[in-house]
Amino acid sequence: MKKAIKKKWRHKKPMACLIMLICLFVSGCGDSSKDQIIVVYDYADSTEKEYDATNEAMDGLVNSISDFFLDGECGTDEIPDGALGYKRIEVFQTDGKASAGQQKAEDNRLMHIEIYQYDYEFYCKAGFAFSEQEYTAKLSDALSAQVERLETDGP
Amino acid sequence: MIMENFVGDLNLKKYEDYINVFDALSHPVRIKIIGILAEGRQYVSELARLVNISRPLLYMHLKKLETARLVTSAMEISESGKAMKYYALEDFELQITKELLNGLSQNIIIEAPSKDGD
Repeated sequence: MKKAIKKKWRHKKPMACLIMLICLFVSGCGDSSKDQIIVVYDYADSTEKEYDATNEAMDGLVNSISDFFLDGECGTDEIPDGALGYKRIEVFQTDGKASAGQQKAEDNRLMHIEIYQYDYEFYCKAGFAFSEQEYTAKLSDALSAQVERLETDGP
Repeated sequence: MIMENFVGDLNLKKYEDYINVFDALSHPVRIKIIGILAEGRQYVSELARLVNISRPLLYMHLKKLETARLVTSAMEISESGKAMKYYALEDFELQITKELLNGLSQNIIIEAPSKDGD
């Protein structure tokens, strides 16, 4: 009886591994981390960095700013004169058919964000691919904290 | 029998209205969104999680669906006092026949490409 059980398990083990591998492969399909590139330009040190949606801090900030402007939470504050450029964020939709150099093409741009700082407060100007409207507003306290955490915690 | 195609409260008669609907239905992500909303309305954050795409992309797709009037959006105040936007699927009926496409084709003019040197 024990020998019979051992033999059965020997056959089942590779199958179990194969099934596990297939499940891992399938669960990886449709991974949204590949659907966008986030490019951040820091005006303080003139550096540019790229992230994808696996970077939770940047992905979360882009989501929060999108909701802020498109969910109707924001006002329509103008950017104050004298406000300094803080960060520029551009979000591109990745294109599986395009080369790496073509990913950041104008046609793939989903969103353009300019964050300004004035008197310890953050203001934002945003534009979306699907709308000609440009949005400007003073960021909420929660969103400002999220922006500040990029400096303290790093993306 | 004459069919009445409609989306929400809009009877589809104009070429532009049909093109908006066809455009909206031409992407698998938007079909997925329609499928989710067919089960009931969803807040944007939950919709993004269910569709598994980034927020800017989701808003882009929702904009196309709104233009076609397949979905509507509204704000409501949650229990925590936060304003949240939700999307709901409109009722629609769409039957595509060769007669319909023949009728729509009358609106299409395809210009011949210009010759070189012109």
